[in-house]
Amino acid sequence: MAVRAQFENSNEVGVFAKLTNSYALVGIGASENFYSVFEAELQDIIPICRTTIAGMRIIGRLTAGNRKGLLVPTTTTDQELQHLRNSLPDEVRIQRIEERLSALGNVIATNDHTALIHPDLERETEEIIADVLGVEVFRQTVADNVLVGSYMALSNQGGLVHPKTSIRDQDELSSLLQVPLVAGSVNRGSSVIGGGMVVNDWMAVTGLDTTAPELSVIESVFRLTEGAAPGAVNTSMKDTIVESFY
Amino acid sequence: MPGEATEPALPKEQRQDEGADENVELESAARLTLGSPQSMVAQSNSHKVEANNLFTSGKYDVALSKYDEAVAVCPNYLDYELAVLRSNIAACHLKLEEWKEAVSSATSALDGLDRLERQEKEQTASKAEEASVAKAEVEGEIVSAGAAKAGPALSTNPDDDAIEAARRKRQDDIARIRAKALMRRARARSELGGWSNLEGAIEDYKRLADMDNLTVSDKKIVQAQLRALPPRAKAAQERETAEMWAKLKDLGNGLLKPFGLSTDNFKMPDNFNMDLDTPMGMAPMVATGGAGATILCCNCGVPIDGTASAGALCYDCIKSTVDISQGIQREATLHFCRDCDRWLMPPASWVAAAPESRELLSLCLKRLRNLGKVRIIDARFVWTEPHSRRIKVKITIQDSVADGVLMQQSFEVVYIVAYQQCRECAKSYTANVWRAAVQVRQKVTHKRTFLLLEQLILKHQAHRDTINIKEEKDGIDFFFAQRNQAEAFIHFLKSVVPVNIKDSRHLISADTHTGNKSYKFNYSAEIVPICRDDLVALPLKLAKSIGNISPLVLCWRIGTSVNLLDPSTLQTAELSSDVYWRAPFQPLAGATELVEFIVMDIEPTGVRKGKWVLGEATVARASDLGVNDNTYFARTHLGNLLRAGDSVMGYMLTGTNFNSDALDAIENSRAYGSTIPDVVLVKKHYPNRRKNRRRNWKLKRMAKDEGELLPKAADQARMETEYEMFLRDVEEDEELRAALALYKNTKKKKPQQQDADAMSIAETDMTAEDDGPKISMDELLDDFDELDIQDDEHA
Repeated sequence: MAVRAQFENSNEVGVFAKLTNSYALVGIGASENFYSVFEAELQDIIPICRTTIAGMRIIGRLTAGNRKGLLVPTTTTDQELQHLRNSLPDEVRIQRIEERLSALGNVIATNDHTALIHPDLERETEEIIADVLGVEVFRQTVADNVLVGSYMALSNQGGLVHPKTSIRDQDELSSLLQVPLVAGSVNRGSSVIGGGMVVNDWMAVTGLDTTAPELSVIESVFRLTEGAAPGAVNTSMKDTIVESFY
Repeated sequence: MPGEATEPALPKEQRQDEGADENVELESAARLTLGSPQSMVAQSNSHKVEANNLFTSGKYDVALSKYDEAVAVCPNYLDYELAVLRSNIAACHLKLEEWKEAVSSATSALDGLDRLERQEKEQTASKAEEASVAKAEVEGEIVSAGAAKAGPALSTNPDDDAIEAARRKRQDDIARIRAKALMRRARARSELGGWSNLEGAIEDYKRLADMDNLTVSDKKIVQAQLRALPPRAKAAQERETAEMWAKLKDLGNGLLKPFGLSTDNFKMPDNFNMDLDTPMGMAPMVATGGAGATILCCNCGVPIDGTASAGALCYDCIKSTVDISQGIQREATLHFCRDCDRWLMPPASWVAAAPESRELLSLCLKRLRNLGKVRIIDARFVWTEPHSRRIKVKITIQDSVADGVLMQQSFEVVYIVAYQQCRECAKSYTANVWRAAVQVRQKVTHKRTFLLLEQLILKHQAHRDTINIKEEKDGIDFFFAQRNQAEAFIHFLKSVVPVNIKDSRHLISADTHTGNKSYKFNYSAEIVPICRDDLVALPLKLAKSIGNISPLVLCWRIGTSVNLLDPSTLQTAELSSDVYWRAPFQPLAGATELVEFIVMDIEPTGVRKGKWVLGEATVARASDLGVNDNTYFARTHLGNLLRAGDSVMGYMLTGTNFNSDALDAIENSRAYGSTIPDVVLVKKHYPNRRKNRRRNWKLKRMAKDEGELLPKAADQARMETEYEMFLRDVEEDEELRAALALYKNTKKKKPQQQDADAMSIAETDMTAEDDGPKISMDELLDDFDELDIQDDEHA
């Protein structure tokens, strides 16, 4: 199911939150409303962690993660890292990355099987991503934008990309990711998909401005309507598909 | 194969495969072992042989890859070989149940065969006559190529029969391969399912049914399929259409917004609607899916091309949500001065602009604020009723909206025409705003000089700068806003009439600190009171000083000076304004005292001067005819104009008491006392001239402010007579006419009279005696005010 929310009058939900199949991170806001939205949907299902990264609330843009792991930038304080380790399940590997492009959320788009990354990321980073998140890593662009994390939202069910992505690019990315992709927008025509929403395999949170057509596209491409529930997450088969494909 | 043999582009190897049999994919390979000059073909063949073996042993996937290799090395101009290979590949796919791939392979095989057949046809047609010439070559090749192959006729017989047989055999081969490929494609399609595939399968089976080279079992299959497939296709069609609409509705997301997309952007039909029964609605999905990515408009959910759209909005939503003309007024006011027909150009200037003119449009556009921020593509007037006092302008503007998408928009602006008096007009209506006044006076009882002066002023536009013109007793006042304008007018007066100027100034205000003073200036311009045709008795001293002329003279013209003529000697003299005003005098008699005479007899003396000829006439007063027999002798300057019996106007001196000192002085003088004539003839008279006849010309009049001197009824009649006399003068005197601007009188009623007018001669004319002289049309001007469509009678 897809819900609309606002973080302190900002529709950029993807900036202030991070949602995966095994945990959620929420920025510390002045109001409890934003947190409540996540709490209402995810309580007793996955842990929701309120945190800052390097003292900043834009955690969605600074971190990248999936079911298996979480990557945080080098600026993350020890205290914050410790807090995350305490809050998140033990299976989730948390790794600090020394990388020039420190807004990891902007340069990495990942689901539980595959990750698309900024073409300029260092080789070491690429290896860490593959190792910690347990994914195949591809250097790619979305609609000629290098900030793949900003311009797409990705789950194991599907993906939403920048509205100007051509069919050919979509096909290429789709064949890499092995999930259906759709071009679209969030927050009443915003092309910054990654910044405007968060999604996992059974729920999505978008900005309050998101229109009904946009929401319906989101629900259909991420398959949030058809019996999407926390338990219905298919984790096993996808791995075999991906492995056999490459 | 005559066709191929003479075709240098086709190598011999092509024929190696001739007659190869692919019924079971093995057979052809066996025959392909012939020595090939090109290794590629050989390699291809060896791959094929291997593949055939693999196929028979049931290893379809390995066979498939071998076939692929064979295709890869086979030269691509060998259509037949490639078709065989592809057909085999299709067979492999069928066995592997990869229907889609089977269809595409079979289709490419069929394409190849079609191409081949086309080539073959062209060649046989063009090469039929050349066949015999190329025979030797052909034979050789056929022998070498065909020897090991199936056809015994080929190997043994180099005749035409053999060639023909070979060709037929090849056609049979092609037909056989085609049948196989069709069978395979049809099978794959029917297995693949789906409406379009099933339809394709039916089509393939129909083609097969028409062929005659099928085996019995194949024919049975074809017949069975042709019975079974159509109902399946129908069912598939219904299912798919329903699905498509469900999908479409999903995309539209049930929003109530109609799918009214623009044809410009999406190549959609104009009448596209939500009617589910019409299948044409599927067009947009296909169209948008082609090039860019289809996204849904974030506002209304309509599918659009994401790569070409502005943001994620569809054309209609941009139109309805973005307004590039925001901030541009839709209503404005134009100020118009009714008196001078000019428009206010803010802040303070006034410009003349015709309705719907370029100038008015630019004025209109300048009135709109914020119009400079967008690009104006087009602006035009929309017609409005002039009395509505509204001007409508349709403006098309262009501006960029988000992401470099240009938007063009048209809108109408209504201008309200408000009346406002311009400064100049306001001034002219305000009393005592003039700075300088010119008072033109002539102290005579009639207005003849002023009528002439009016025409001269009109012709030279000398009154353009006046802010008011006012009739006064004995003259006209001209008012000006500036002193120099009045000075210019004075200069003009001096150049046309003998005039005496006096000026005076009246102090309005004076600033003692700066020494600035403001004055009103008055110019008095007094015209010499002698008019044309007046009889003048000059003081003897003056007469002596201006050329010793006889003191009793006629004024024949008023120019910058008074022109005098002695009718008995034709001597002329000029009396300048300065000289006159040194010792002013009154004329002896004016035009009102003229009396009519009848010429009894006239004899030219032969003395000429200019247009005049001196004549000696015997005249009788018209009023004396039938009363007495008094006749008078007169010398006249009209010797060439008068004939016996003519009527002429003149002054009667005998028996008239003039009560003039100057005349008395002449009578008393020794030199001139005896020379005073009885009669002085002045001008020819046309007694039969109709009083109110229509003229083919007219003069313009100047708008004057009569003030409190509104003429009485009697004066009115007198003024009309004076004007009529002036008009006659104009008609009679060519010189006078040349100085004026005469206009065509377009309100003439009788067209037949016009011909007579056109033929009449300008100057005073004996043939037109009855009705007086007339003016030729050539001398007349077209009046712009009067130019209209009905005017063509003069054209």
